Amino acid sequence: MTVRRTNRWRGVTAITFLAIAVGVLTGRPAAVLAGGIGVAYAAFAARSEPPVPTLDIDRTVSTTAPADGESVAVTLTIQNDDGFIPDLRLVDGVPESLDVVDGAPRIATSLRAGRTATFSYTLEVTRGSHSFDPITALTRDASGALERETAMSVESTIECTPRLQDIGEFPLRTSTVRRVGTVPTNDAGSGVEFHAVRDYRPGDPLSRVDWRRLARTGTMSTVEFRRERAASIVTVIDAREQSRVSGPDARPLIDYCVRAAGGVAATRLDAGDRVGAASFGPYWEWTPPGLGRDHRERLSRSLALDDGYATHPPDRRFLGGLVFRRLRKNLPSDAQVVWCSPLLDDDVVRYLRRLEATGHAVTVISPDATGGTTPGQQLATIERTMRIRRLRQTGIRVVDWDLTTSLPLAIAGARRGWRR
Amino acid sequence: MTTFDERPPRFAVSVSVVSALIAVVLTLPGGPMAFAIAAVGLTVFATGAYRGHRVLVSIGGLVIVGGALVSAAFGAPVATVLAAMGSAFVAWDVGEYGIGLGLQVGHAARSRHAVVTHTAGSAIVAGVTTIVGILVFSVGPGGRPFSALVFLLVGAVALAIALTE
Repeated sequence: MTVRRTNRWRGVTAITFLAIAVGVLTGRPAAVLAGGIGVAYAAFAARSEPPVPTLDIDRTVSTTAPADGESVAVTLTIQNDDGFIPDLRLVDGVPESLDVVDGAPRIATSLRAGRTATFSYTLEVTRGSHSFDPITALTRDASGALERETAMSVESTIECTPRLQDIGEFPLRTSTVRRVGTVPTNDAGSGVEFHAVRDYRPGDPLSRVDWRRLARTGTMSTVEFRRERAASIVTVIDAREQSRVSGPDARPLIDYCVRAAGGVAATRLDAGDRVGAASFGPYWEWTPPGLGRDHRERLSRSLALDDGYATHPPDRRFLGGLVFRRLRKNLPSDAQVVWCSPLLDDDVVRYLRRLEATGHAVTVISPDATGGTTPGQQLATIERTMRIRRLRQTGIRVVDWDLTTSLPLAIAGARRGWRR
Repeated sequence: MTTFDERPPRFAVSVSVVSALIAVVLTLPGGPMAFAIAAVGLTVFATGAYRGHRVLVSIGGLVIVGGALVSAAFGAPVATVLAAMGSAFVAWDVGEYGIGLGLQVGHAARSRHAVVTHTAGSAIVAGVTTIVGILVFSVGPGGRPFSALVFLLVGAVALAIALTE
């Protein structure tokens, strides 16, 4: 709590002296009496005592689980629990990460004892956890000569957890783990895709006997299918400084990366694969690959709210070598990696090639924020294209996502160049 | 946060300009020169009030006060001189108050109630003093020495200065 002088009444006594001087010089008592008004105001200001606010403030947000991009109305109700406050100004502590789109988060009013004032404004919500800062309350007495500033804390948090959105098909690469699933392998076993025919051995299930061949040639044979196995996937979001560059709708690229990771997770979880997530950035986040509804919830919340995936610029240093080693250590040996990154620097190419070389099949989804006419921008575009080419040369699949189209479209386009 | 409009709230600007206008009109009994000075003051004041410039508001207010004093010098009745002075003070008070509101709370925020309360307080101070001044004048000279009045006021001012420290 601080009290300060506003000094607004400075000079009032000078005016009084001026009036008296005019009155004396011209012999007009009216002018002298006019000076009395200045005296009255000076006395008024001298009795200044800015009240200590005793307020009961309540903040309500219109929606408890807003969607990404939804507008919510924030309403503040202030009750004066003490004496009359002639001049009360309040500034709400709107979270820095959110924008006010309608109304104002401030009010100036005067409150009698026991009375209530309300005001409201509209915020546009984005993914993440947003906490309100303390409210600033400024009180003055009637003359306004002194002002008292108080901070009042009313805790509120807005959490926006966007649902993981299915992106249609997302084919994986052919390295796998030992659970039965949907990734075709080059081994023979049980599955649904035809692989080969061999001689019938006693004990083979009769459902797999090739009856047509028996009818045709009279020999018993068994059909074998490609053994399908479940995949273990880790989506890695590039959360370094480079991802804070803005995309077309003024959202930082990390948002697109998170959206892509969420989409891959949704699609592959639906297909029965185990999916996890990691943040490659100053804040380490790690969700090991898992299955099921609970896991999906946990993944969704982590991607929405954890610091490692947040849109605000990081205030920690990033030590690439350490984080990469940690990632390698945590990755299950048979896990595929879906790396979501704008590919705006060369370091990331090294990391990816190393992952691929150590047996983790890598697929990259890269939102494209380049494009533009200045020489610097054109250079950035060319450099990024060359990085993609280098990655593809090592067998890494890259989805070059043009942000003017949807991700499913970008994936479909990229698939055309993929072999099994 | 999004853009912050620092202009004074419209209601405060309107009240202050109207009050200044009243003060200017009340200088008329003091002759054309008093009125002209006050009118110039009004223009400066209104510009400052609307744009949110404290300096212009203070200068404009001071010039209007000058106009009121000139009207007194040219023999205007006590009632109009005091009322003009009082209106000028209220105008300046509310004008500067509005500018402060704009800076702290912004143009878009709700502030009407605060302005109304503040104007009421200011008007009471100006109004009471005007009435007291008129009473003093009507009861006073005729017999009382003029200098006694001056000394009374100087004493009051000294007291006021002491109180504000």
